[in-house]
Amino acid sequence: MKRTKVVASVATGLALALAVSACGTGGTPSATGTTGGNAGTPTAGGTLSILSGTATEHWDPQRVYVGVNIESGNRLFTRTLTTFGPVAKDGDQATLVADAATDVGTASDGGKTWKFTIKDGIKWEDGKTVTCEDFAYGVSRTFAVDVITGGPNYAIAFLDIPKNSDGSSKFAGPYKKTGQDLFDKAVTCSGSELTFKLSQPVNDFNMAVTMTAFAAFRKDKDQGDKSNFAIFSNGPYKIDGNWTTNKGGTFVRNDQWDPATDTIRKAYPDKITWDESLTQETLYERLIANQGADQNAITFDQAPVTALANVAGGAEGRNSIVASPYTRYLVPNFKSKVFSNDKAREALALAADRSAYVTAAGGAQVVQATNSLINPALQAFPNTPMLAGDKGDPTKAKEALQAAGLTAPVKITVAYRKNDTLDKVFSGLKTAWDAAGFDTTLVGIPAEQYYSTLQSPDAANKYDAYWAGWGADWPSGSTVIPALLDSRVNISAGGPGQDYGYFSSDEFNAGIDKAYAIADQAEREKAWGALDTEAVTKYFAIIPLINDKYVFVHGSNVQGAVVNTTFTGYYDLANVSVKH
Amino acid sequence: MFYYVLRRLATVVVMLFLITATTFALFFASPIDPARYTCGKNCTPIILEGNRKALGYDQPAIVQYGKFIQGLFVGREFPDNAELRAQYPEQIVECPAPCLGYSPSQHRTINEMVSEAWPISLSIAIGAFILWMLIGVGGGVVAALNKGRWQDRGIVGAALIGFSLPTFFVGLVLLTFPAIKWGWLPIPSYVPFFEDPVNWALNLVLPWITLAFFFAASYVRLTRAYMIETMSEDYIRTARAKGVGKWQVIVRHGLRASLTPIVTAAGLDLGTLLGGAIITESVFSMHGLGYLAVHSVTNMDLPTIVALVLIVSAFIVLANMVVDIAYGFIDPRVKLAG
Repeated sequence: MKRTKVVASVATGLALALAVSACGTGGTPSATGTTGGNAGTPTAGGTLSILSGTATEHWDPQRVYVGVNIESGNRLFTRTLTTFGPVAKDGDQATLVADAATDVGTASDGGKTWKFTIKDGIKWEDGKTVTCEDFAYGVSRTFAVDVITGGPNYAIAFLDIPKNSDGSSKFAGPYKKTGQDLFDKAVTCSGSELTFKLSQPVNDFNMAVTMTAFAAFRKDKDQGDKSNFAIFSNGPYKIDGNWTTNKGGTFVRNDQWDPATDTIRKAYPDKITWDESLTQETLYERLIANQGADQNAITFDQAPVTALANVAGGAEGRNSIVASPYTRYLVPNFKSKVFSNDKAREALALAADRSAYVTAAGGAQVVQATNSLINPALQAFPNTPMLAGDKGDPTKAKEALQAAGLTAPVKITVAYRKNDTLDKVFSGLKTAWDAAGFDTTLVGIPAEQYYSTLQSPDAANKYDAYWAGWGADWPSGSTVIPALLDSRVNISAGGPGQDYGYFSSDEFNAGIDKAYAIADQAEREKAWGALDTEAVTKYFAIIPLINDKYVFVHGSNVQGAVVNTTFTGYYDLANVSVKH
Repeated sequence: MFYYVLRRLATVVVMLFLITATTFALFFASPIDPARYTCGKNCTPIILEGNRKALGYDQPAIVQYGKFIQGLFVGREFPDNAELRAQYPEQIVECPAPCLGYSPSQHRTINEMVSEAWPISLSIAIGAFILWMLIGVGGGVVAALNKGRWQDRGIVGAALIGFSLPTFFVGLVLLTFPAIKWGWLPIPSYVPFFEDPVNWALNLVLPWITLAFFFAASYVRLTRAYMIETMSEDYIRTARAKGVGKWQVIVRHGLRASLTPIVTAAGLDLGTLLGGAIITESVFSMHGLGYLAVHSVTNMDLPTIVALVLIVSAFIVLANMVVDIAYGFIDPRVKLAG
C-alpha cells in the first residue's frame, strides 16, 4: 500500500511528495501499443545504459521503498527470499517465485508462522555465504527508526514483537539492542531455515518479502546512514567503485554469483551504466533520437508530457504504454455535515464525470475510467460496473440528493492536490456536480502539504471530500483495502491515517478480518475484491475515478525490455540484453 | 585602502550571519515538515519522531543554528546521536571545520557535495564570462564606432534577440540539435579540466554559448551606450587633435573610461553565476551549485539550503567588494578612503 509519488506525476514536475513510496504493482492486461522490447535472440555481453532523471534516494535494501529501486536492486544485487518472475510481454501477470529461498515459503498456524529455507550456494560479492542470520539481521534494521529511515514498516507491523503504549516497537533495532531478545523470538534461524512469527495471520506474507526491506544485510558491513549507497551485492552485478547520488554508478559482473542458484536473472549485459544526472526531458530527447550509445539505453522514468507526442512516431516499436500502479479516487468525508448522509455520498458518486477526468488528464490513450479502488493489474480487481456510466447521471444524482433531504444547491468543499492537470480535471468534475445540485468550492492544496493536510485532524472540519491516489505494494488487495478503509488501523486522535474520510464500519472491519484469514490465495483475493465493491457501491466510502498509464521508451539495440506490471510496474532487467 | 578592505570584510561577515539566520528562521516557519519526506506509508507519529531525530530536526531551531555556526569553526560529527556514537563509532561521519553540515537526503557532508559542485559552476561561469565579455564588449565597441550604420543595427538587433530568448529555450535548442540530433558535440557531461582539458571545453561549449548568448546582449548595449557617450567627450577630440592613433584613442581613452560601469555589472553577474546557473545547469545536466540548490529546496534539505545560501551570498558580496576595490585601479578619480 502506498500513496502516489509526485515525482511520478509528470504534470506537476515537482520533485517530491511527502510519501516516499512509488513502488508497488500495477499495469493492466489491457495495455495498449506495447512491444515487449525488440524481438531477437538475446546475446550475453555489451553495455546496457540506464538513463535516469530521478535521483535514487536509497540503495540500502531496508530503506528502499521506490518501485524502480526495489525492482532494479533485486535484479542487480539484492536477492530477496521470494520475488516476482519476469514476464513475456507487457501487462502479463507475473508469478511469485523463490529467489534466495528454496521455495515460496510455508505458512502454518493459520498464516501466523512463515518458514523459508535459504538456498545453498548464494554468496556475497566477497565470497562469503549468505546466511539465514544475514536475513534476520537485515529485517531487524527496519526497527532502528531513528537511523534507517524511508523504508516500508511491514516488519514492524507484522512481526510478533510487543509494542509500547505509544505504539512504538519494544525492539529498538540492532544498534540500541533494546528488546533484541523479543526480535530473536519473532525471527529465528535454525541452520538455513528462517522462521517469522507474526502477530496476526498474514497469508500473503511471502509476497511482502519480495520487498528488499526483508532482504539480507551483512552485520559487519552495516554503517548505518553511511551504508545508504554502499552497495554490497549477492546478485549478478556489483558496483564498480562508488555510487554517487545525482550521478549514478557502473555495475559490473559479480563473479561470486552462481547462475545455477538463480532461475530469474539472465544477466546478459557485461556492464550496466546508470546515469541519474539527466532530466526527464533530456533523456527522452535522447531516447527518441536513438543515436550512438543511446541505442543501448533504457529508462525507468515515465515519458514527460512534452515527449508524449513524439513517442508514437519517433519511438515506434521501442515504447511501452502500461497502466500505472495507481488508482486516483475521491473520498467523501463522513464527518462532514453533507456526506455523513448516505444518500448525499451516493449523489456525489452518481454525478462523478470520469470522462471529464479522462479528457483533462490527456485522453483515453493515457487514462482509463474505473469504479474499483483496486488496480486492474491485481487479481483482486473486481471491475465494479459504473453506477451511471463514465459521464455520471445528474438526474439520478439530483434524485438521490432529494432523497437525502437536502435542498439544492448543496454547498460542498472539495480538496485536491494542486497541479495544472488536476486544476482542469476538477473544474470538469465541478461542472457535473453543480449540474446535479451541488454548489462545489474547489480547494487546490500544494503537493508538498497535500497528504499531511488530509491527515491532520482539523481537515475533517474544513473539507467535504478529497482527491487521493494509492497503489499496492505487492499484488494483493490486502495492501489496498485495509490500508485505506480499516478504521482500526487508521483512525486515532492524531488523525485519520490513510482513511482520510473517517469511514468506520464494524461490519466492514469484520469482513477485512475474514479476508485476511482465508488461506486460499484466489479466494482471498476475491474477498478483497468483494470488499472493494462493497465500499464503493454500498457505503460510498470511496469514489474510484481513474487509472492512468505510464509511457516508457528504450533504445533500438535493447532486447527483452518488458514492463513487469505485477512487480513494481517498470522495465524488468531480468531478461534485458543489448545487441552488440 | 587596507582599512577600507578590513571594514568591508567585517560588514560581509555580519551580513552572512544575518542571511543564514534568516534562512533558518524561514525554513522552520514553513508549514512543510521535512520528516514527512522520509516517512513513507503507514507513517505513525512514533516513526515520524524517529525520522525527525535521524534528520537532526528534533532540536529547537536556535540550537540547530548554534550547531551550524559551531561546525563552521570547530567541525561537527553526524548524526548527533550520543547513543549511536558510544556503541557504533564507525557509523559516525566526521566533518572537520569549516563544516557546512551533513545532508540527510544525500547522506554526505555538504563540504563533499560542494567540493564536487563548485568546479562545475566555476567552469561554466568562467568560460561563459570570457565569451560574453569578448562578444559583448567587442560588439558594443564595434556598434558604437559604427553608430547608425548597418553594423550597428545588426549588432543591436542581434543583442535584442539574444536578450529576449529565455535561457532554457536557447539551452534546449543547443542541446537538441548540435548535441543530440547532429552529434557535432558530445552531450554535455562534466569532465574535470585537469583530467582532459580538451573534453572539458568541448563538453562546456554549449552551456557557455547559452549563457553568453543571454549575457552578451546586455553588455553590447551597455558598452555601446557608454562608448558613444565617451567618444563624444572633449578629451577624445583633444587626443585626436594631438595626433594620437585611432586605436589608441579608442582603447586607452574611450574604452577605459567606459569600463567602470561595465566592470560593476560584470562583477555582480560573475558573482551571481559562480553561485550556480540554475537553468543552464539543469538543462545540460551539469550538477553545479545551481542544480544542488534546486535539488535541496525540492527535498526540504535544510543543511544544504543554508550552506548554499551562505556560499552564494558570499560570492555576491565578495564580488561586490572586489568591484569596489577595482574601481580604484580602473578609474583614477576614485579614491578608497581608509
